[in-house]
Amino acid sequence: MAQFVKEVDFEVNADACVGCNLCMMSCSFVKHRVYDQSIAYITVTKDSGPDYRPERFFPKFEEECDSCGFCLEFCYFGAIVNKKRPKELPELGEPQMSKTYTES
Amino acid sequence: MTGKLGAFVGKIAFVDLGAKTVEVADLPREWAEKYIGGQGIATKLCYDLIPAGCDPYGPENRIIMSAGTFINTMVPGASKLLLNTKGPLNNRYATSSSGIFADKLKAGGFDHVVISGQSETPVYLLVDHGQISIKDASHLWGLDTKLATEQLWMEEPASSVITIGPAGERMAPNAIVLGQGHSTSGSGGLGAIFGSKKLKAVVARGNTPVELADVNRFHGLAARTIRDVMNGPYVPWWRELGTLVQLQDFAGPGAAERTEKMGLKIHEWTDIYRHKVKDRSMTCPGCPVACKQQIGLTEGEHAGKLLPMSCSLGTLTAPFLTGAGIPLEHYDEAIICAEMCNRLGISTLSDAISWIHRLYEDGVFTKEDTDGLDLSKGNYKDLQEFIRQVAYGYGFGGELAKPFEEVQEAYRPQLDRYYNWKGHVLRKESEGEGRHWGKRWSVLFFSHVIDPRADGPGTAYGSPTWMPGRSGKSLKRYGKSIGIPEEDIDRIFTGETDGYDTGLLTHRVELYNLILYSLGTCQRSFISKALPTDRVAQLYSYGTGIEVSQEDLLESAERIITLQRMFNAREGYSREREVYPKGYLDDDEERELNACVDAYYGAHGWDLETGIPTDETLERLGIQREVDPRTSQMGRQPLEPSSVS
Repeated sequence: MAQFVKEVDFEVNADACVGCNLCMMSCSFVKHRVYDQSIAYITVTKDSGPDYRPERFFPKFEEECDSCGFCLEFCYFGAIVNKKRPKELPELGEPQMSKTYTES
Repeated sequence: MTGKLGAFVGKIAFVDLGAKTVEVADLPREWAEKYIGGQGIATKLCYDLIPAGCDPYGPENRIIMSAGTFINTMVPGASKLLLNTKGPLNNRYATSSSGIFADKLKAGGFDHVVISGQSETPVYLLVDHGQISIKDASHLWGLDTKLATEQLWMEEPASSVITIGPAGERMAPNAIVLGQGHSTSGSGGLGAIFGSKKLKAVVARGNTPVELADVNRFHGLAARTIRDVMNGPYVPWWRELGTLVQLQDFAGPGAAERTEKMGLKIHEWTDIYRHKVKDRSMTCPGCPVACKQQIGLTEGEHAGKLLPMSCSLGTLTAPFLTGAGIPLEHYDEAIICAEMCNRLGISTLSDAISWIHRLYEDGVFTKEDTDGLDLSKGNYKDLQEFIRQVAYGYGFGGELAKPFEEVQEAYRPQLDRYYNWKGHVLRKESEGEGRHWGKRWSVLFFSHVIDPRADGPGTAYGSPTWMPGRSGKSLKRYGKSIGIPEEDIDRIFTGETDGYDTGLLTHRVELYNLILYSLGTCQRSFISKALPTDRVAQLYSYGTGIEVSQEDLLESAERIITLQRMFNAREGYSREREVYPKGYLDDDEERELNACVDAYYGAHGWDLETGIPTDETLERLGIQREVDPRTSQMGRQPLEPSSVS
């Protein structure tokens, strides 16, 4: 797999991770052509320990990761960031009445 | 992968809690072809395995836990757990879904787990890497859902947990099942059936891979679907407000105004919610949107309290701010009420808690009946005590948390003014337009009458018609996306705002949603907009290797709903018992309703007099009225080693 993101350009922002698992699934697809989170090169673990918070998750790249950047494409929470080319996350604009209501 | 079924794990487990046995059978390919998966196959299992006329609380009733076909794939929002049973409230087909747990159930090695029998002592089920064990839960019995979940996370690491609370343990008819401490399977009284089997929880973990027939094509289309979802204009708002979005100005013309009429200052509440209440967004596995929320109280007596919640509208706003009328200055107390319901494991929407205020305000119950509780609207202190009574089954609340039939019997003649309609409470005096929202018989309100699922009011499959004021063009576009053939579009839609034939459209909305339920995907609008039926058919073909068209899927959906209908017919439900009781509606309403019912039954090919599917329809769909004996005998093998304690 060609590398198109340098390792040093990656950043993990665990605070933003909500545990949707799309990164693990996309990784297992691109590396193994199967959906199997247990063999992905990125793991997302739930918070644990005495002061754990159930809504917290920690993404971590495994050694096998070759920085292909596939998982980045599917992180819509800003938990995996390409520092050089940050992805635009959905922003709250002024809500407008949907066009579908107003068109004839 | 030729010949092998993709996307499915291909295993069904049969657990008998009485005999303490676990058996496993291969999922028949024919079932995938005829019933899509998830909800569809669960319906088949319910019909064949739950005996007609059995006591919902008895050992013969079953709980069927199902993971849909697309669970653990990259199809966005494919995470729905489906729980099916015979409902305790009214003996109808009952089903409930939540966004959590199905991923681990399927990763644990099973598409479906069928639970029968009754244990003598409290147990929980552990689904673990293709094995299932029945384990002792006496140390968990009596714990609320939060404590039980946390205990199980500790005992069984890397697992997902669904559990019942004290209400389910004592079989309150609308007890819920809670996933991972926040995700509600609220409808249908599933929690009570768990309780009747002494089943406190189910825990699952594993890493069974999902193999697909054509993974490259499947992934390409799934990735495109994710992008389409994320390009939706309201996604950021769903993430910000969760289901509260549905009450905002931009949800539809008059949405905010109607909310204000129901007594909630929606702009003020939205402001409080965004700035003082919401802590962070939460998501179901496989969903890039995250419309669930963790609530964090920042001020007042309960400051510092955190509460994860799957539905900011259904768990909090609708029952306690509009329903119970808790004033906005005490919003934190409404949140405490919601937390109590989640932790004690009771539905907020469809049992004693939802109708007590009406009965109290109607003067049916006075302080004398309630042992001093003042249950008028807004009195949160007494409401919280009432919730406790419902869950633990003591005092006045305990008396009321029973099927309405029994409550009515106990409180004659006070309750003679009310109908018991499919287990729900209706005031005999007409409430006129008050019971409608926009168009008189919209798909939403008509669904409440006709939906085969247990819940009656509160149950309706999602569609854009929930919000009145849809333009004709937008409705037609929706019609095409849910697979209505070109020649029927003009028959169903008039082209005007809100212009549609309710009976015919409801039929179509149900079919489409049953497809999504069978695949295990979310049906909230931001997901379903990106999943038109033709795309779903492509995904299904790439995933499973079974070539299907959208017409095939729609026919399967017809098969599913017809089977649900026959399940209810077997329990004595006919047209007469299905629609509102005689005298409840005025003449105009009744005439219009009957026209809708005729159109709806006609579209399904069900008998217009009785509502029971005709022989021709059954033949067309390839299903039998008789129970298929093969289902109870299918090649089951004992699961070894099965540790039973």
